[in-house]
Amino acid sequence: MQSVTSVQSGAICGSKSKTPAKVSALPGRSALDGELMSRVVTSADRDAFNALAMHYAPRLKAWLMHRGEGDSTSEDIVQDVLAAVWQKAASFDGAKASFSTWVYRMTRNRWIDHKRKHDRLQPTAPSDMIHLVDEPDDSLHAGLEEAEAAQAVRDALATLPPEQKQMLYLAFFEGLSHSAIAERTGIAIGTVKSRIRAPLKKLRTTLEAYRKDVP
Amino acid sequence: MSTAHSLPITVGDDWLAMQSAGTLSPFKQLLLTCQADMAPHLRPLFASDDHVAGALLESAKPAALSDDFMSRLDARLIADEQAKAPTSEAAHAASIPDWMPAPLADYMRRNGRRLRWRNAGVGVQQARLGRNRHGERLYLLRAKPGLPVPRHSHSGQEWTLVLSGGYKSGAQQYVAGDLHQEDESCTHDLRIDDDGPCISLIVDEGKLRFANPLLRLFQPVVGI
Repeated sequence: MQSVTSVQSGAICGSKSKTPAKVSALPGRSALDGELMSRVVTSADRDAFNALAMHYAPRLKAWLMHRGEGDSTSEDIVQDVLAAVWQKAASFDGAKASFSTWVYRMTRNRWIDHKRKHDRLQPTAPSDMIHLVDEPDDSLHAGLEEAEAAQAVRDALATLPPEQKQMLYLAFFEGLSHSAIAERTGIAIGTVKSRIRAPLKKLRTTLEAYRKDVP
Repeated sequence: MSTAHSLPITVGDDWLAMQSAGTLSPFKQLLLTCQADMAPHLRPLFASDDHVAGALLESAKPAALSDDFMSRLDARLIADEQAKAPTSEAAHAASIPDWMPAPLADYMRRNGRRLRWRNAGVGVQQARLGRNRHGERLYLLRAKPGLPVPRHSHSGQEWTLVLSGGYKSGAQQYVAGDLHQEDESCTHDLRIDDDGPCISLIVDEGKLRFANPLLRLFQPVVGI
């Protein structure tokens, strides 16, 4: 089960070789995910929950395995996350974050929790770490609809050159350091850094500009 | 909150990206979580890269799941539902000092740790909170008002989150909610503000390196 399934249409794929990852347009699931979560929240719709689980569980597992977790541990963590999604569904607010951002954050925080235990240290609850960004009501941008901001980021991401998107994928999804990306792709580390910093700066600028425009 | 500048000082863009990707150490993640707890207006800044990561996740290359993954998940949800029980943390909340951010209080509660201040030099107290296998130390420092900290550098990185009070490093003022990064390339001295004690949460990778040989002599005794 260490293997990865065949590439799906529209997927972004890293490669173990020095071949650049293939990147195509992001299909975007935000509206569909929002509708499914609405059904989960309003009517405890298990079919809707299963649809979300079927799509995200294999990708979250891949994210964890890229960080060195084994097959079994990765699935255990994903199960914890999905159980939390079901239990805390009412706390999901599509106006603050897309489902993909929400579940990504939960998975990252649950994994950090796991790492703390592995380091013989006790965890901080994932739910406490979620509020890193899930409670921006009292922020300077109190009126911001984060889901719309996320869509702005998604739109900007879709317009990036493939080589920049590939670097972001390797950094964020596979969790590789700049030097590891350079080694993987055969690209000079300085170029790797610029290909990561430049699009992130562009995306952050997009987001900041969007936030300033929101009353 | 900060009076010397409009936004608290935090880590740079590269560190924010690492935080979002989950590639920072757990102690440093905790420090940033505490900062976000103290400074809610930083949260959108931290959130930006999570939006990127979430968008990438939607169409990322999947891994194969076990054949029984969904049936195990179904059984898990049923078991969780049956085991659901009300919890109360009111008693714990009552014992949290007002300067302690909630994520740190939660960390200490789950770790079964009590706040134990010990002297770490004249006018300085330290409360050790943990050490991990990566060689990082997590601890609190409490320094008396007006205390000068002699010129020193660091062995590895040091991240300091000011929880209450403040201090000045060179020309830079740090106040509650600010995060101060140093590494072995920087030599500086500090002065604690006169208007009250300064409490900081610190993650470091090694002890201070004092310029003064006499201070280096006493360093093993004070433990910082």
